[in-house]
Amino acid sequence: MNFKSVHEAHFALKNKEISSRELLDDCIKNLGQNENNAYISITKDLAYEQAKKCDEEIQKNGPSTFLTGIPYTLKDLFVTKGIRTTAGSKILYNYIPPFNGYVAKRLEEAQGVLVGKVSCDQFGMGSSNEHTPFGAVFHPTNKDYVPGGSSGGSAAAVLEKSCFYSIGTDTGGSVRLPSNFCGLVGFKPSYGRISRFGQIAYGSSLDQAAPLTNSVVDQAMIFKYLTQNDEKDSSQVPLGEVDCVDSLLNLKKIKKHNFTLGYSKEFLDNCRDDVKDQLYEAKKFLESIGVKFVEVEFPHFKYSVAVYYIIATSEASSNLARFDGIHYGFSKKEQSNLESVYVKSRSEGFGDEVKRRIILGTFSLSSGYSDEYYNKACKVRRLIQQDFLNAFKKCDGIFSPVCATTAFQFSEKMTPIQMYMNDLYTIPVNLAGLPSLAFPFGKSSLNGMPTGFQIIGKAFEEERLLQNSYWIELNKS
Amino acid sequence: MTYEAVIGLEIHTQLDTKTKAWCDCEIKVNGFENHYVCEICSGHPGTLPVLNKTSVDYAIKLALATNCRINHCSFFDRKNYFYPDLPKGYQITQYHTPIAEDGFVEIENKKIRIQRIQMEEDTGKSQHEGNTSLINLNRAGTPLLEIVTDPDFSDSTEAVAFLKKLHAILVYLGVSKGDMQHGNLRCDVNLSLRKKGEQKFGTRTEVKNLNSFRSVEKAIEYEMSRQSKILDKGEKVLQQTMLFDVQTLKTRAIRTKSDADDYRYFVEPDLLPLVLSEAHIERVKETLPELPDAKKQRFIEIYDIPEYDANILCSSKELADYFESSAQLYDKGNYKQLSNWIMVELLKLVNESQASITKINVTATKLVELLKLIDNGTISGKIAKDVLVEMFDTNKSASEVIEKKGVKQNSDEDQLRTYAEEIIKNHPKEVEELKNGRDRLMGFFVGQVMKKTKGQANPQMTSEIIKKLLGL
Repeated sequence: MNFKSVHEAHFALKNKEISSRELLDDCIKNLGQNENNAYISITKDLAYEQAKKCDEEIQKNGPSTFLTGIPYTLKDLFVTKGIRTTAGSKILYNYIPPFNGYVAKRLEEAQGVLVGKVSCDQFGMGSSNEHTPFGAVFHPTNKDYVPGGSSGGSAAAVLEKSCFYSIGTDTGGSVRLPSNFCGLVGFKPSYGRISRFGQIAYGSSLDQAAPLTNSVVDQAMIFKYLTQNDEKDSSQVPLGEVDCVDSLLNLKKIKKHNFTLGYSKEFLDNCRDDVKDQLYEAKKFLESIGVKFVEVEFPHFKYSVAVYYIIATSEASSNLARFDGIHYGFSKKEQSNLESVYVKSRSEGFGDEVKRRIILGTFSLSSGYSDEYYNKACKVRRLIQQDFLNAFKKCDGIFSPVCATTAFQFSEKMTPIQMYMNDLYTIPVNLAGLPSLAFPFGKSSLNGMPTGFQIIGKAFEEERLLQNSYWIELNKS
Repeated sequence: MTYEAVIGLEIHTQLDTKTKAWCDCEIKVNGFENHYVCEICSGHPGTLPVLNKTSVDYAIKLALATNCRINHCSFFDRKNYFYPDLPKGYQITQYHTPIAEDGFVEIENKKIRIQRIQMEEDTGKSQHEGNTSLINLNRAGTPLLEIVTDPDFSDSTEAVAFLKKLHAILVYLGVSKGDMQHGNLRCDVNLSLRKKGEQKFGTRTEVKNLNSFRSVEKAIEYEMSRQSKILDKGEKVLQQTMLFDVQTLKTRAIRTKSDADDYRYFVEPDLLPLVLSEAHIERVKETLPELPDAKKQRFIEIYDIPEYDANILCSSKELADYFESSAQLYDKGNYKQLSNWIMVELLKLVNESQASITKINVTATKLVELLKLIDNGTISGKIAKDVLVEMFDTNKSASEVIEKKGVKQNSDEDQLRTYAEEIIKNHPKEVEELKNGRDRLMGFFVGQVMKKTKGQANPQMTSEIIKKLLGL
């Protein structure tokens, strides 16, 4: 492919150096036979139709948006009208939604070119993209490795360059982790920034749509289109008139851009050595471009994983109740009674990890236990939020690992708990509803896999976070 | 052994909003099956609820009308359970902090305490046909208010009086159609017995889904007698959920509470806390219509009708409105007479035909015309009753009916005198007795004249003529 970012592709389209169709041709070529298994549904015909329209439009008036004519993919948790939407699960293997969700609708309006619906761990539950009946997704640089999860299909598709960007969802790190594993930019906005309407729910108080891209400026371009007011999501906080792209590009004109990042030495030091080395390298580099560092403390972070796996699974146990084999999706209808329809449909339709989480959540909410688990977890969640607020008194953002390791190999068997610990550094961000951007930096000396860090911003101050991240990107290249 | 009953009610009322609780679907429960449904109320993946603002104002209205304290911040919760007519697998309700609490409604000098009013949604409808069950989601997501009383009732009369009052309030407020046949108002009864004078509550049963005043009455009576028989035998009442059979008038247990459902309530993450400002509540307050008690008081004062009449007239908003528009047309007329005609003659016809007073042929204008014809002596009150029936059946005006039937009152003095003279001549014995003080015989003479004139004689005039002829 000639162009490596949305930004570059947009200007090439604008200058008529290339057509949307040619961009798509490249993507389809890179997609090949879906060797990395990133895709669950490929919408090639639709994509060519959309590209054709875009080219006609561009010929006449030029691209009307940054995203006009640019191929993208959607995690299969985003509901698309008339296009199968599976949530990566057997229970929705045949589900064709009668409506478009917010993200699908906005990108359609922005004249994007949809290449397909990409794979994920079932309902976004997993960190490796192995937990789906559609088969594990492979890391495009080395098939022995996982791409990370749950938005593994999104990361693999962007890395294999079968699309320019992909929209994933991040409930506990599901975009930042695969971005980190695949050397991409993953940006989770503040909770509520992008409407969740049409995003199949996992943990409703944590879920947030989040794009995976090759650059920070691409993130700003997409962010603009996904943050408009949507009356169908009561919890949404629209961005309004802010133009992040302008405020980013303005940085090109200045020499100095100062900001302070807080960090916890303990967090960096607890990472595996290869990751730790790169984190300190990154820190050194950031200092060299004028970033100040202060040490901050997060006394309640040690409870994050526990709190997360209670709250997220509690909400999931309720959110997934609608998949009952009655109204749509996979069903074992031929049963002698209603309860058997439920039990058989759900037992066969859901994968093990989903069932594990439904059981855990059902238990946490059940009478007699909810005070000890769900209600207690909600209280501790407040304390974790408070830790961030305290830290932000001293800094503009937090410099943190995304994961203690790099992408791991399929053969590395892990217990569910070990797997859950992958999300140690990403989870607190979701619990506090903050924006965070995973930034690729360096490679592991151990296995050559990508490494990186995340910068966590203040709630609803994405513009600032994008600016700071762009400053790093500008100076890095 | 004599027992006293401790009874509490839980009432579900469907709100008469244009659209459903969380989506823009029109509410047409009895429309073509599964037609008034969208991806939101049918629980498709990825959909989210958005609160219907009108339903909030309706809840505030009821809270104000029932003297409740309105919570400035309330929350929605999910009640989780599986059922095919509940497409999301949970009902959105208000469990921990409802919109309003601690109110009361007065019935015949007793205060019935309202524990809470909570906003929630209705389910779809299941229809079982042989081996098949059909689901209709038209009703799914209809906004409901659940009103929970304290256990303040001691018999069916009180419970029914309260329900009628609450029903009137809901209809007066315009928040519910109050059509019980169509399930706009449904009632659960919680009932236990204890020995007279005892403080401790007995074990209660819950009778679900009663949808008429009569069912509530009969279910309470049946449960009271059933439980007292059990207690008399020295046995224990089981904590059970019951259904009431309207054919046999008996209750039967559908499940025992020991295997109580665990609904796993938790705060609905898809809806924000419901925050109400004092100013907003004030604005809603200003739109409150006159409520039954205030209207009753005003009727007594302005129209000078007895409390008994005012009570009946104000029992439904439509009836009160009918009375009031008639009264305005009947300017300075005899309001007690008006009230009598409405309560006795008209309501009899309305009830017999099961019509709604808002849709009958005899409009307020037509009724008043009839009354005025009585007042000016054109027809007698007796004939007017027949005229009213004809008006009710045919949509004709009083004068049209009178014209057609030729039942105009006979006020021809000469003719009436001729009849009277003839009757006096033929009944010397009765004349004698009347003159000796048997006043009751006056009626006999007037009646005879009536007979001659086929009931059309002006009774007052006839009576005066007879008196004159006999020198009384």
